[in-house]
Amino acid sequence: MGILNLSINSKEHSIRPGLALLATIVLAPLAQSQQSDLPDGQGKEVVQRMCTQCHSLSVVTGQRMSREHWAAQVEDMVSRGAKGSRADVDLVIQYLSAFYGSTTTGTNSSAGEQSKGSSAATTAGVIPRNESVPGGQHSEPEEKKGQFVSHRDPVHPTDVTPERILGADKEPQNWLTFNGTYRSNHYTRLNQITAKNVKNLELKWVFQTHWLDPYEATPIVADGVLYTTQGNDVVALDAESGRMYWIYRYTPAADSRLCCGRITRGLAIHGSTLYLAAVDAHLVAIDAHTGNPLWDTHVARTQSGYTMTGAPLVVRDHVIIGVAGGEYGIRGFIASYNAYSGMLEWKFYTTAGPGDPGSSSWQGDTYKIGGGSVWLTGSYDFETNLLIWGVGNAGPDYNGDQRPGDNLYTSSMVALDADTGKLKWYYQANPHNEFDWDAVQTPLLVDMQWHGQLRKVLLWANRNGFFYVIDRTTGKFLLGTAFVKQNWNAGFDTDGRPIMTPNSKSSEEGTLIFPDNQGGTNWFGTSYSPRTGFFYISAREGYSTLFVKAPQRYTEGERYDGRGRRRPGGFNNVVGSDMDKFLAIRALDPKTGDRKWQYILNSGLSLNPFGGWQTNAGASGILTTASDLLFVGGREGNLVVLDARNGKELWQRQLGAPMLMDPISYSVNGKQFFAIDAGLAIYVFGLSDGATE
Amino acid sequence: MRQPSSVGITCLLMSALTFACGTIPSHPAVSAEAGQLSDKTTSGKTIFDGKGKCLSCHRVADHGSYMGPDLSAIGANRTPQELQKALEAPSPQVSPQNQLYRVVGNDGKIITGRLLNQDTNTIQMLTADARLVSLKKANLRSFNFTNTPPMPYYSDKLTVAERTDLIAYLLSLRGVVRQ
Repeated sequence: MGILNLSINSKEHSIRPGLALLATIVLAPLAQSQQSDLPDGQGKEVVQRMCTQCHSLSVVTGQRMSREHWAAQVEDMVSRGAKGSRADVDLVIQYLSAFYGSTTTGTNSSAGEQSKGSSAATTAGVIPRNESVPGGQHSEPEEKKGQFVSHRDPVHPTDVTPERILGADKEPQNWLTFNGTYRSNHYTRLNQITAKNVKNLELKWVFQTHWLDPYEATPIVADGVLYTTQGNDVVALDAESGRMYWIYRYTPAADSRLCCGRITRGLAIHGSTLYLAAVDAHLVAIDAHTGNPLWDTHVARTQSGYTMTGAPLVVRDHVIIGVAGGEYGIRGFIASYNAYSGMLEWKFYTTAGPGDPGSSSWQGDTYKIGGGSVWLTGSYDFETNLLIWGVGNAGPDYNGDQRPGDNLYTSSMVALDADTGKLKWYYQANPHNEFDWDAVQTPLLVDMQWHGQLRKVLLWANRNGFFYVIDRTTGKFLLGTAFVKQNWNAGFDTDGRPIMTPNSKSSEEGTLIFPDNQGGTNWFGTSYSPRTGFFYISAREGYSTLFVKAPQRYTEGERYDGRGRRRPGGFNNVVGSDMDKFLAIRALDPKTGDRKWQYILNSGLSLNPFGGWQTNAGASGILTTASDLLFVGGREGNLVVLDARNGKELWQRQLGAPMLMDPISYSVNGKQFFAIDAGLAIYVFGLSDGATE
Repeated sequence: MRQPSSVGITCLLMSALTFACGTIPSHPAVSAEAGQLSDKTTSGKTIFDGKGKCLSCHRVADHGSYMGPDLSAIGANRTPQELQKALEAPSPQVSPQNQLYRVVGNDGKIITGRLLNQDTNTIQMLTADARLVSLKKANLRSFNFTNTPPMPYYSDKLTVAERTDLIAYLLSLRGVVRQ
């Protein structure tokens, strides 16, 4: 009937019921080219004759409607010019109700139909959005199948279903979540770019943002469209050419308190809706086709210092977010909002209040302003239905005297039931932390042999300089080893609680602690390759800070950090020891924490483009591939490709600006791409044409 | 009153001011008045969703078609008089951003939708079945806006009372409301 499907790409999107009722008339020429295998039954010929006067049958076969809806639909089509007798119309209604009713599964899925033959788009040069993996081989264990069904209103489009997100590693041509998959391993099964052909890697396109604040954005890619942020704006780009489809401009409230710039690190997608966690603590749903906003939910009070800078994570119909603002005396939380309505479903406070486990780790009302910000995206374990998320440090940051106790669940990893937000377990890396060590670093979920048995663990490189292995089903501490120089930890007790070295606490005169407050690592994503079995980390080596405390009164919306830190020798005094500071890409054996190799990416002593010396090394996150490559960029602007097996440099380019977020890889039309932000732009690389060998 | 063009599609193509009928604005965030609709706006919504067939072209929040202008915030951007004119005497001229765009591949295949962007070598479109696609002009035989008729006249499709209610409903659509 008068429903149109221009099958631009044979496998791309499902048809949207009720959506395509228009364009009909313009498309009569299409009818001849459409394919159809309607199930046999009375009325089949009439359906073919009447409906294909204007459009493809795939539009019909892609729908499931009640008899009443089919009747209305058919009558509408007749009013629009569909030719047929009254008996024909009744027959069509009967046929469609029988074979494509709301309770039938149909015998001719649109997907099956679409898979036939060449589509208009393919031959017309339209870029296919879905394809097999270049090279295609992988050896990773299959995700376990299970019940994972969203409670989706059937009228909603279903482009990126929760089921697709769950199986994101099965479609490596896309990058469907901030961390790529729920396991957050920053590993792609794509393997077209190899050690042999990486010399042919070339710049394909650049997206220059119109933005002046720090830019830390990791895109997502869905079916050939790359979605990313520009500050708090959202843009949709053709992933192959970089050409823009649309831009959604969002101006955050001017009263936001921001410690570190108007940063929005990424997006989430569900169906055909994007989710933006804006810095003024608004969660905004956006139509991925047009950039039009759908709803806008105020999450927390900006005047109190709440903000959001991390990408949301979608689990089924839950949109999970965390709040930042630990420098302003917030009470941190992780929360779930309904993907369709934007209504709050649950909230988990990251500082334990009365009645919560560990509430005695706070005194009085200190938990109400105790920090525990959540500004990076966590992981999701499907098998246990647990959200596993890192929590920031307690506030005031540097003066623990104002908050006696362990200050649970700050500087911890927490595991929450995804449907209720109920706490299942926690592991606190730094009780009573006075060193600004957020523990928000994303955990990587890995199943690995551990002392002779397969164990479900998480791998976690903490800002405090330690690499952890934790049983992700129970929270049991399994391993903790330093991956950079440190002087605060003298070991762990049997429960994994750190044993502090003497005098490892902030002081009025300043206490020298390794690593510094920026940590042994920071927000840069780590990677785990199931091929090499290594855990990869951007490690800041040799940094230290004099941590200084002072009393501080809490005033809503004002900084609440209890003093701060001093660089040994003074912030602007470059001393010889700076030559010992650098950023290294390190491969660790996760079973032991032993270093397998390192590659020094940048030094802690380089020329700052704004003048003077730059003494703070940093890097992007790390991406590894099924072809054993490792992509990473540094603060000095060097983008490198390493051999993930041994750290050997294979390729290098200077991009002229720091790289601060996580690289991703995707493919379009059978071509693998690699994207990373540098400075205020996103750079996308791929092999030169014909250079895949 | 003039009849819609012979192709017989109600809201297929719309005028520069284009507001017609369409959708189920189920999301409360879209309309400031949602949840407290007056009788007239409730009636107007029923017309919008049903008799008017506005969904065929337009969209409100997450319902409807992408081919016509999104009406989620139409009430914040148009006066009652403008809405009345759009329904009863729509302009025959369709502004470019609201025209359908049609490309024909070198093999004769046709794609229709809204033009989002283009440059010397490529075209970016939102197709009729809601896909973002990028096309290479070298692979296209032709690419143009379609010579499409404007939004149909509703004077002879809806009664005065129905049009009044429909306008009341359209005026209630104020865009996304912060919750």
